[in-house]
Amino acid sequence: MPIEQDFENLPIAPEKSARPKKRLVVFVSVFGTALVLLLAVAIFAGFNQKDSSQSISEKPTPTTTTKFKEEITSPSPYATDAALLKIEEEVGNLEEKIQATDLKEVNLTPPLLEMEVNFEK
Amino acid sequence: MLNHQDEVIKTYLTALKLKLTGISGLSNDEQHILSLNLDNEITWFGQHQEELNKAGSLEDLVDAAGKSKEQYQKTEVLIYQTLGAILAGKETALREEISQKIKSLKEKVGEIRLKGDKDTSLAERWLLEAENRLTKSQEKQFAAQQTLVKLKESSLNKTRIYNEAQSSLEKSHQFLKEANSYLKEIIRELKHAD
Repeated sequence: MPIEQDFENLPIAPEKSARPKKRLVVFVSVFGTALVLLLAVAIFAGFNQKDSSQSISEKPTPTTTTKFKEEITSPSPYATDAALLKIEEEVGNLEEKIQATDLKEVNLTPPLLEMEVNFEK
Repeated sequence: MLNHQDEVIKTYLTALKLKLTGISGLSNDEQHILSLNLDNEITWFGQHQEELNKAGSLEDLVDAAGKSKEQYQKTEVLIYQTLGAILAGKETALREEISQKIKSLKEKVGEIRLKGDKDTSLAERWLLEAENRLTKSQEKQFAAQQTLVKLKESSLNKTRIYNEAQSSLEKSHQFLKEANSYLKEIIRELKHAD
């Protein structure tokens, strides 16, 4: 018995390569979104932690200031002279004092007073 | 209100007097005179408060307010003179200290010159420059004091006159900074070989 086959109405076989590609795209996009979300949460949590730690700290971090000391390449016999070094230290202290001197005395600005007083009868 | 104004003036004058006592560059006489004048003003406004409390009529209050206004014209002159003296005192104290350092350095430079193991001509020239800056600083301070002398009860803008004097004192201060910079340079020069 001959086998008859309707070639025109044959069901179209789904493309084998398209489905895995679509799945891959969906998987990658879901994974990517999840990763971005995780990153965002991690960054947000990190900022919050930073903020709270800043508000808790009571003392400011001490800043160390190192004084510039010039290196003398060709010293004179007086480079280590005790008397000269003493004057140098005093002059340095005096410089700080001069810089710190307040010549405005804003705290002692005279009070603003209204001396034009009118009494209404 | 008048009572409160008197209280404000009294408190301010007391603060000014306290500040004055902590200034080392003022002569005892100047400090004493200003202190005494401030005390007199404090007493006046204290008595004025009593007068206000005793006032029996509106006319008495108007009269008391007028007296206060007139007195404050004098007080303002004293205030600005005291403020000027405080700033000038600070400058004098710093200038005296720099002068001492110049003296010490002069001695050291003289000693080095005698030994002859280092050329001191540059250091000597800078010492003269430092002294020159001190003189200029003194001149500016004198100019400030002269400006403050112009202050009168009748002066319309006392604040402007005071600001002028204060500006002269700032210039005087700039010369002190320069004088001290010269001293630093002299020391640096002495520490380096020729």
